[in-house]
Amino acid sequence: MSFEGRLVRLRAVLDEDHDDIVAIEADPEGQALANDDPPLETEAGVRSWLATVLDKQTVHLFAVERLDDGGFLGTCGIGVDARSKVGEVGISLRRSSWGTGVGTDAMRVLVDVGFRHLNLNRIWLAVFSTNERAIASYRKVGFVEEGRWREDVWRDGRYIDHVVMAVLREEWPSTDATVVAPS
Amino acid sequence: MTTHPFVGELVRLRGPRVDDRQHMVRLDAQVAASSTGNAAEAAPVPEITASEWERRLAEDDGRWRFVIEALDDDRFVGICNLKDHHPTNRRAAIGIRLLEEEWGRGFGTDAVRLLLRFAFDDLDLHKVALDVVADNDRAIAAYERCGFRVDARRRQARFRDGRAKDVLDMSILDREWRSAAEGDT
Repeated sequence: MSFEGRLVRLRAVLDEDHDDIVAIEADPEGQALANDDPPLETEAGVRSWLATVLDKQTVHLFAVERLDDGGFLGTCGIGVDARSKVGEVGISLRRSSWGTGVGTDAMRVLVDVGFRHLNLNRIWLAVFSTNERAIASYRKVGFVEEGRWREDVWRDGRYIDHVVMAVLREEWPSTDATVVAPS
Repeated sequence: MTTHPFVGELVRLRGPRVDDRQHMVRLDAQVAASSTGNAAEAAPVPEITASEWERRLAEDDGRWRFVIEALDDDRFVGICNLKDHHPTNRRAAIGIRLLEEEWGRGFGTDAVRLLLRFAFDDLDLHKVALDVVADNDRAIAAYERCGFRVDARRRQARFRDGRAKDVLDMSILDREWRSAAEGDT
């Protein structure tokens, strides 16, 4: 089962994606902006995280690929708290794709999956206050800033804030994301 | 006068004991009936057995767990803890639950103050955080008295009593706690 937007497709993570994922997570620029806790610092750490996450019933991890040529861009996922009908989302794409609109499109598709298919009521994320590109992207998708966890994380010699953003089902218009059966 | 680090004006914090099990059973039963609780799910739970309780006392899950006792007669009034400790970020979160019959006596405020002293003076943390359901006015007032401020309002983050409720994320930084403590002396 895959989900398509305007620029990207979200599909299941395959074994052949794992090496690409390790390489993307190892990018130091990406690592500086990634708020994984604990940080994914080693290849072993990334592979171990992947194995855990793919095994977890409560996390839906997707591979993100370009619609036009199937190029692998990275991953995005949603962790579900079923009792509260809340999903926490995250995305990690290769640096060469930043600023091209694919992240915004992928996040839009992911949020739609959360509301339309997982029947969630609230989808949220926490992003570093220094990650201005991501914050702008999430705003475009429709995430609203709910506040900041002040001086929450120590990075590169100083404390930075986590910006908390969320979108509620009642705020979410229907999109043109469609479910595409595997061919 | 010497002050004990875990003794306040109304309560003391001590480690949990085997004979606290009976109080935990009462506390767990009250959570199920409470609409102010913070747990994602408030439902009756199996009564904790003696062996489960002893196992929990012995396990180290990284939390600092305390029992709150009233100073006047040493009775159990609730529990509190420091959890989610991140050493690099020098941050931890607190949780507290009081027996309902002990609400409104200042025990929660006093216990939280003791936890903050431990967090900032012993663990040298930079920040202590907590979350609380937005309509729990009594608890929010107590946290504000201790110096906590609201960082974020997570909308519709919990479902309880037939509706989605907001959750407040609150925090206090070490410099805020220190200047409040200095103001007291």
